[in-house]
Amino acid sequence: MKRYQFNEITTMQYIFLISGTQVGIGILSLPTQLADLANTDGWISIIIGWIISIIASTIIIKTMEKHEQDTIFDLSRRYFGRIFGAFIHIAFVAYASLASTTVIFTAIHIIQVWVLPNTPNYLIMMLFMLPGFLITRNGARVLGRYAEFVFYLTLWMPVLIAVPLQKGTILHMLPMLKEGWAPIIQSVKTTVLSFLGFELAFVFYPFLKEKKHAVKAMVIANSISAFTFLLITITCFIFFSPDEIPSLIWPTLSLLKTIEFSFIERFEVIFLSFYLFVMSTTGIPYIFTTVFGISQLIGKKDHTIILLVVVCIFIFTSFLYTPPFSHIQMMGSWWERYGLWGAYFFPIGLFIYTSIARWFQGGKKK
Amino acid sequence: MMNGIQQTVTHSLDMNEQTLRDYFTKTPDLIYCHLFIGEPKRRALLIYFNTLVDKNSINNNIIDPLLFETRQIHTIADIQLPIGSKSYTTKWEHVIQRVFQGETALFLDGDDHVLLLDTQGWPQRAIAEPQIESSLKGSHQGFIETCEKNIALIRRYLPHQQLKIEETTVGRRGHTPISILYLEDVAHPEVVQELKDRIEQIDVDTIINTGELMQHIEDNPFSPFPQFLLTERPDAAVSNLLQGRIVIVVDRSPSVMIGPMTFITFFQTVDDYSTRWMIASFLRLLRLLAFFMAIFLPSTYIAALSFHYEIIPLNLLLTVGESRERVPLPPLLEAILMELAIEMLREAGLRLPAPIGQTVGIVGGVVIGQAAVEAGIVSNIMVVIVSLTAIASFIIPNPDMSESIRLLRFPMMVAASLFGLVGMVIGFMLIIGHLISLESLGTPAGSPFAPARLRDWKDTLLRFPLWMMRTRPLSARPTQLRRQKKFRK
Amino acid sequence: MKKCMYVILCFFIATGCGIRTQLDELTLVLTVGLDEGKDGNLLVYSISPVFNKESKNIYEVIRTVGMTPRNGRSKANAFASGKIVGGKAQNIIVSKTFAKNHDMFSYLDVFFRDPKNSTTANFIVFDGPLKDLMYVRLDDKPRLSVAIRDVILTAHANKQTTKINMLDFRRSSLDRAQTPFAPILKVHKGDLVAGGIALFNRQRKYVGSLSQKESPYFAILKKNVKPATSLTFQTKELTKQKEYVSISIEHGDFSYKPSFRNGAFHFDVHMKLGVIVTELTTYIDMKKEKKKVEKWLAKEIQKQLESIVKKMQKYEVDPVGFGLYARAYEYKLFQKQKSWPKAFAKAKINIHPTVEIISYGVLQ
Repeated sequence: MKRYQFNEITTMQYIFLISGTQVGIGILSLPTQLADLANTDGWISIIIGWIISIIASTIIIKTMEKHEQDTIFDLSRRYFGRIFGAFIHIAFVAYASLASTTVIFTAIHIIQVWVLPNTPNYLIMMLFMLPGFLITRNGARVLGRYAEFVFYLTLWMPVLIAVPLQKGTILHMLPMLKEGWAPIIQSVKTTVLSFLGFELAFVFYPFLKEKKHAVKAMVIANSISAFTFLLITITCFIFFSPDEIPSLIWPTLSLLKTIEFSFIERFEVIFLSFYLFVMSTTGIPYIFTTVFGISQLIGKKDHTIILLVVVCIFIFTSFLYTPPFSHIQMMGSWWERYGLWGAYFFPIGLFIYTSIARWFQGGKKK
Repeated sequence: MMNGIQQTVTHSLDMNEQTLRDYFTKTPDLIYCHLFIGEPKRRALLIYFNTLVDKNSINNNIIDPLLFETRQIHTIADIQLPIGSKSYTTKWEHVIQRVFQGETALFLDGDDHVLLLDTQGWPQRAIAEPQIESSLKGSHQGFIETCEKNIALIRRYLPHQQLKIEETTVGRRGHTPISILYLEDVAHPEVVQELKDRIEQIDVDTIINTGELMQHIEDNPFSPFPQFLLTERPDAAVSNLLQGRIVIVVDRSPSVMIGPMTFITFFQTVDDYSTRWMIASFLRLLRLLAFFMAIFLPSTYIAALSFHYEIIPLNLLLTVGESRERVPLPPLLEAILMELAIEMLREAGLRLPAPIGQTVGIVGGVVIGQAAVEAGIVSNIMVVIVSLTAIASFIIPNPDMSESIRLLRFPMMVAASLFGLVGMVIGFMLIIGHLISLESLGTPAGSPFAPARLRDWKDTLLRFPLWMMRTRPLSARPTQLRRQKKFRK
Repeated sequence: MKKCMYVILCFFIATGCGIRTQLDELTLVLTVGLDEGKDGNLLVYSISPVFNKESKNIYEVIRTVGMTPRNGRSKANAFASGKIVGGKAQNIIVSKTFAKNHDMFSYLDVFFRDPKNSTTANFIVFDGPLKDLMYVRLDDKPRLSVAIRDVILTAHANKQTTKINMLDFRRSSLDRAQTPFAPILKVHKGDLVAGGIALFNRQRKYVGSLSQKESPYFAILKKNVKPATSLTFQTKELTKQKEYVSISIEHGDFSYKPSFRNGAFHFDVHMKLGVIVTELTTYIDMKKEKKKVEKWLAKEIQKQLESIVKKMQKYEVDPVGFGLYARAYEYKLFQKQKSWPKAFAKAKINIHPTVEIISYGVLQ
């Protein structure tokens, strides 16, 4: 029996959905975070982070495989009983809502700083909520299609980022492993967190049409993200001098500022406006997870009303509260702390727990 | 009297005539023609609308042989007439319906069967070159207002037994005959059924034009985009039939409706397939560019001038600054003013007879364009942008799509003036979000991009060489995918 | 749902949304000038275009006195005909005396901190008091800001000076392995002349300059020979006559090899230059004497390059970025140096150019 027959997503959509969730706001500041810890060797830790995230996402898929039609919400109830299951359910919803709040407020902040300096918070929030509502309302299928479309639409962006490469020098990157492996290992924590987003496989896996490709899809999704992270980080390291990067908050945008063509200048304005597409593929799946989780919790099939309530809450919050940059950073660090548990430790624990539980159940049957 | 026609025809000719005369009051064009036929003479009644029939046919093929009939006529079946298409009925309902369609009914005294003879012949236009969708290399025959002729035009391309035609009527008063054409071994039965169900549900007076039918059965009436293709070209209809789509021919309307469509199919023309693939691909890309220009060009101008002056290179910025210097209007008003002027010009030119239409063009082009700049109402860069946008919107081959795009330009301009590029991107996001959830007869309109069907990309942004198009597009959900064999390397 | 959208849309329109930066209402600052005023105050000049056809000037110059450039700009708002914005700034000019006495970097902070400001503006040092430049009348050139930019760009293309934009200036200022530099602009008999290179030390203060003649060699050291670096030499050594030969360097292969010996950095610089002879005022049989000429040219170039390196070492500046090589290949030792420019001053730099004449034109 298939529970989500009319909401199935193809393998491609699944890949783009996951990698779209991974590539988002973090990428704009990632080079600085890495340079802070590991100087210009930070890119090596991206590769390590990539491997770790592939392992973690494989574990998630292996856990989900045991009950193909279950989302994490069903799974938690199945294995942990009603009360404890509901607790995990709520925790996951809370995590998703924290992630979506962080993404949205960061996006608003960046837009305010770089593109629309005088536009009030709540107007941008309302603006963002329009497509957010339209796309989330239609469920996983439209979400998948959207992620797919955005992927094609944003293919030109990495090419553009590579343009300043010719102005930089590889000398900035040399020597490799200048401080040894210790700082690289330290910064793995940062890169591991920039891969956050694959944990949504917990929610989207049951919607996947061809389940046998799930692991492959996760590897490809993580690789797309890893490639993007690497491209941007290396470009920034080559373009900026190692002493300069830590002083920039959003090195990727500072980098784009220098791109000039004979017909257009100041590419960061255009890039950032277009980057909203990329940010939307991060924010919308989290909003969807939140809304979907809540509707499952209270046993409603249609999530439109809850979505409407959530959207209203977002807009209302933005009227009352304009987060300063320090709050946004704080939200980000919360998300990361929470995400480390939610996306790395929790799946491992869950996998072991479900395996043991099944083993016991199997033993009983025999 | 309604009872009368719901019953069957009686044996008595007088009663039958009375029934008809009671039913058709104040109908001067209904002709009652009394005849005595056969040896011995029997009374017969011929009725027809003289406005809907071919009088020659009635005189020569019906009245003339009947008058000179010398055999004895027992039943109506004995009557032999030189007319190919004839049928018998005993139901008033059929009689009346057929007579309305230009057939002639023959009543024989003492017989409750009515002979219906095909004598249709109403005023109709000769087959002519399609007016809206003219083509360079395609055929120069367009559909006309007669269903039969239109089907004939399609049949000429597809002499194949799998081409199925299902007939039905729509409208309680108009009884518009509608024919649903599809290739039975290609079109998906679910899609055909879905379409038939939707047509059945229509409960209106009549359908004047195919466009009306389209609006009654489309999936999302709140969408700015068309979900069915209207065409007046038989070759376009056939090409779509072969891809597994369904063609609906509406009598009295010169355009046929095709569904299910995807968004990208509105950018394809028949000429694409008859030109060589490189040129066709170039034209496809040109149309795509035109699509983006038509939606985004004026709003980009507004966004750049209102928010993001930095993105304009200095030399251009100085030029823009100089040309904007005398203009008292903000960019949004300036743009809306000019865009509305262009739309009005277009609309004015459309309704006017050709010679006056040219005058409108001159007035618009010279007077408004040149004089408005010199008067300092708009900047000359604005005029360039507006004309470019107008040209771009005319490149879109499908008039419905072209109109939707022109409409979308205005909200986009407002968004750009409120939020600059961010507003435009959000607008774009809304368009995409809408497009990917839009469906045409239950098949996604965003295909083959989202959901991605890489196989179908052969006929989208680029048009691959014909010998590479071995499969029918998946977006039409054909049951038979293979279109041709690999006969060429 | 639809109604909801309409309400939101109406709300947007009603509130007027955000504050626009409409082009018509802006005063675009294309050039910013910083000079030392009386009592340690800062003189801020800004040049912006005027589009009004009725006004006599096509640009306006605003002069204000303030503590910082941002402060000066706020004051300038009182004079300007629209809100002042720096998003399209083309030139940031400082006077030489100002550059000598102040750390440039702190004064330029505003151009980096505010993301609306342009970072591709050229940084220029002006030789003399800035008012000479700001109120110069160029009758044959359009707008002063554009003229300044074009003069610098042309001079840079001809290697008479260099160019550096704000972003590069920031990069070389912050990098421990190099020091910033800037082109020099002069007003000579009412005309703009660009030539020579200003050198800044670690503290971003002006310490000295390279002359216009030395500029092409600076470009060579920066591996920036394309398109065509022209040099002219006296052929006294070769032909015993006071004749001249001009060459243009078309391409070059460079290699910088750092090493550390006896407590000092050593750099072995090898360069292979492909040149075209563009002018010969005397007769040299190129067919026979090609090798000889090549050797002589290499020696001449080496002499010049060594002299400017000496000069840089004297000023303790490293605009060429030798430090980048030291850091990339001798990381540990580089990290030990407290100050790279000081270490650079002590470094030994051996330059070995070789010249290959690709062609000598259509004459024998």
